Amino acid sequence: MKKILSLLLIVLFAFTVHKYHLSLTKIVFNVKSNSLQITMHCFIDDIESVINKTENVTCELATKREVKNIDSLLQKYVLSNFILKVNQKKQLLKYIGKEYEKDLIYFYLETDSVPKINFLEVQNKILLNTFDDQQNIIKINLNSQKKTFYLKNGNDKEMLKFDK
Amino acid sequence: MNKVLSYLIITLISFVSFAQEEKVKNEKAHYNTNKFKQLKEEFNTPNTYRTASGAPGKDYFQQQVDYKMDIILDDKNQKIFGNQTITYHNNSPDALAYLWIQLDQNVRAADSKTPDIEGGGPSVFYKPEQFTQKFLGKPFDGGFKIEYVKDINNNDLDYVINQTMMRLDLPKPLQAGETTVFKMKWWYNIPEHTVNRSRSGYEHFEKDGNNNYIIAQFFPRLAVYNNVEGWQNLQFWGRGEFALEFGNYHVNITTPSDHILDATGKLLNRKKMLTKVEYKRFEKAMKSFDKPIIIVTQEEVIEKEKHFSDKTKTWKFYAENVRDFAFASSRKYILDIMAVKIGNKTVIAESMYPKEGNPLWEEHSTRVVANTLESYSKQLFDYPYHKAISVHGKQQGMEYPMICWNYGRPREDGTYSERTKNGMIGVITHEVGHNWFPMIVNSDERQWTWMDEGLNSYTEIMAEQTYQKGFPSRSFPKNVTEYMRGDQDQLSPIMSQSNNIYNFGMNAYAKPAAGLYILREVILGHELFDKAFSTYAKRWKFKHPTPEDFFRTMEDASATDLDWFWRGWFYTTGNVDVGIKGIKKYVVTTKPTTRVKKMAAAYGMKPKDFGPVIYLVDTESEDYTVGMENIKNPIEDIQFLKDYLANNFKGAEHANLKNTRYFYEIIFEKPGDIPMPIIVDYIFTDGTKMRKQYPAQIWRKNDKEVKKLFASDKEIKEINIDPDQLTADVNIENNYWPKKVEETKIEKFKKKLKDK
Ligand SMILES: [Zn+2]
Repeated sequence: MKKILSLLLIVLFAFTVHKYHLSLTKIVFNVKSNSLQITMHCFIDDIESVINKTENVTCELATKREVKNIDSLLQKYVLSNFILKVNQKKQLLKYIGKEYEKDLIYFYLETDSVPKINFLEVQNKILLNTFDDQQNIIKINLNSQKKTFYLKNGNDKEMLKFDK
Repeated sequence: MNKVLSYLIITLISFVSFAQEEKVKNEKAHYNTNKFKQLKEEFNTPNTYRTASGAPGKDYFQQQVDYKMDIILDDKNQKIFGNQTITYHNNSPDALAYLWIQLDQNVRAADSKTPDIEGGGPSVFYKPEQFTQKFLGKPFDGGFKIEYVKDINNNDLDYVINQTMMRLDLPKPLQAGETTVFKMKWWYNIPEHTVNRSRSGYEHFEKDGNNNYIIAQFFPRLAVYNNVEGWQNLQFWGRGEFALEFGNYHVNITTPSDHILDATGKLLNRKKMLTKVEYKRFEKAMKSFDKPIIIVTQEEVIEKEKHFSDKTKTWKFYAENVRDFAFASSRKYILDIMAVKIGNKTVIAESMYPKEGNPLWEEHSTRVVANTLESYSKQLFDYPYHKAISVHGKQQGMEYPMICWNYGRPREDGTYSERTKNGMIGVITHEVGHNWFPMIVNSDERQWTWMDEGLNSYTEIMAEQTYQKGFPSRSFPKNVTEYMRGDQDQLSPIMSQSNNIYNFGMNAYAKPAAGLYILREVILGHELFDKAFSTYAKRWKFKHPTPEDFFRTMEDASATDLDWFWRGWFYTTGNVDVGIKGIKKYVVTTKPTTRVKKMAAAYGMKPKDFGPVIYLVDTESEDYTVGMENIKNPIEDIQFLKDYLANNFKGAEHANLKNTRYFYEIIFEKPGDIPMPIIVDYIFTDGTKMRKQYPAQIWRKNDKEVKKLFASDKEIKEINIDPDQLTADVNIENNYWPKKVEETKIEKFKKKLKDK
């Protein structure tokens, strides 16, 4: 048995699913711009199914059958599901763009200049509503401190304290 | 240096290092936790049923079950009726008081407990049919309706049903070597597999009112009895698949007369079932080795779809030595066939699909079947059956002996994406491939999904690459790294029972497949791996292997201890991360170092007592003094070495001595849990490259870090670990020396935007 491409794979039995649901987000501090830069990737077909469902469209990402305003749809989805707070203040995120690489889609986001970071809260709800087993991995590289954690259903945010 | 002295030095060195470690006291003892420890505790003790070498033993046995069935497919009401006679041969040494029979359809019974064991909130959406079934008190009335179970004299037999398992009590115990015969009559409502996800059922086509039936697990089937599980009567919950005995099948299937049908086994009355024209085309197809010949055309099907025949016809099949029986039937089927040479036999490669599958199916399906038969036969053993059929089933991917269902539906306008096409080629390869694992190499799927899915997903990679070079196969080692470095709470070892696995697809398909790929590419090499892997397949064809039989055979057939690999990759949730921690440069000197002075002093000697010797000095140590690098070419610059060489090597031999003059100590680290060979590319300043692979056993005494002295006639510019990404290394940041400072993806992307 094997993975099927249809949306129906979420329903009842997962027996034909040869797949896992995962996103990886890297957050780094850029010294030059004094900003946080975010690179997030996940599977194209996962994002495609959620966009088609929530926006009631039928598009095929990374093909000629994308809808015209796909970037604004993706931007809306990503920005409403990924939230960053610095010292308890929600950051305005710039959606820089997206890029396809094989079966993955990469999203690029960036904050404005940020104050000295004592607390960083990351919330990533991407695809959690769509797939029970979705895992959103977050990797942070800040002031030469590296941290990795996993967000999933029931635990979609994490607060980090930075001493230095 | 005389022999006694050198012996003394060796003992002295080991004594010194021993003395340094002696400080630690009163620490807790521990069991052997070495990652290279043999798997004696995990494995069953070998016995006369299954040998220590992984082969079937002298007392190996398996039961045989033969079926005679008359089946009626009611296309009007989507029901199926069956009458079957079962002959059970007890080849075991044990007397059996009862038999266990699998009633897989009961997983869809209205009172099935399968939905009850699934947690979680609401689904993303419900189709009207699904909403009605789930919430409006109208669950699908699936499950077997058993009319009777009788002996051959028509006496009722006593039975009790526990969900998907029926215990049939025999009037008297069936002794070793005895045979019993009994009869069953049953029917059930066929589920619509596009509404209730299931491996078997029908799809309804609203536009023309016809159905496509893909029918399996459709009759009561005997459970396996063996020396490992006794009766394998674990419930069928919907995921852990099947454990089945081999046997011979006589099956007659009655359908509307306008259906096209095919099934497991030889179609005995093909001439009668096909029209004259169709049969002529079939004869032509059996001589067509380069392309499929269409037997029932799309135009003919479009005409047929407009009618619904009230007449019936009966298809007759005989299948020998198969573990199961399945069939597919519809008036919507286009049928094409080509011939494939396997050994000196001609095998039928065949596809059945509705027009909705075209043009994709006509272009690829049968060709992919043929390629899979050829590739798997080469890798494992010649395909022993006479045909293999790919049937179009929406959202399906499911395997049975000689027949399987596969997805791959173009859009309504007949166009399709690369993703759909590649998905279809992949799934057909995979499902046809299942003829080897588990249809013939008949492992217990209820217990171990990986034994068929993992092994098959590996063999599938090879077949896909022969169908289309560079095909985007999904189970390469680099495809499993993100999964393997995931949250430990969401990982289970491969050696877990099928129903209890997180991330089913990665755990039971991709990870074991990637593991075999690593064994072939990195650990054993192509020749040894291919020999060992096909030894396993050949030893266990038409038999029931266990995981140990596989693990043991791979070692037995290759003379390679792989316990460390099975332990790490199959028995734990660890991952692979090997890196470079640092590199030290050494220079050559004849000036005694602190180390040698210490050693000599401890022994009441002087360094010069050791005679003329050469020392390697760490350029960052106290012993290093400026100017030491003046010895650029040791074989020229150190007179006693030069003399030694001149006295011992002459002519060309002398001229060919390597001018080794660069010395490094490389410190490898292993943050990952699983030991792995270290594959290193040493890249030199002159642009040349040297690959060196250190066996995994390099980690046997220090699981975290090892040092390696590297001497060369060239200067190292760069070092790359696992440059081809063959080892499933989950973190490649530490794979480079010097460390790579790469521009981040986001910065690259921003530049790209600017340039536009
Ligand atoms: Zn499979």
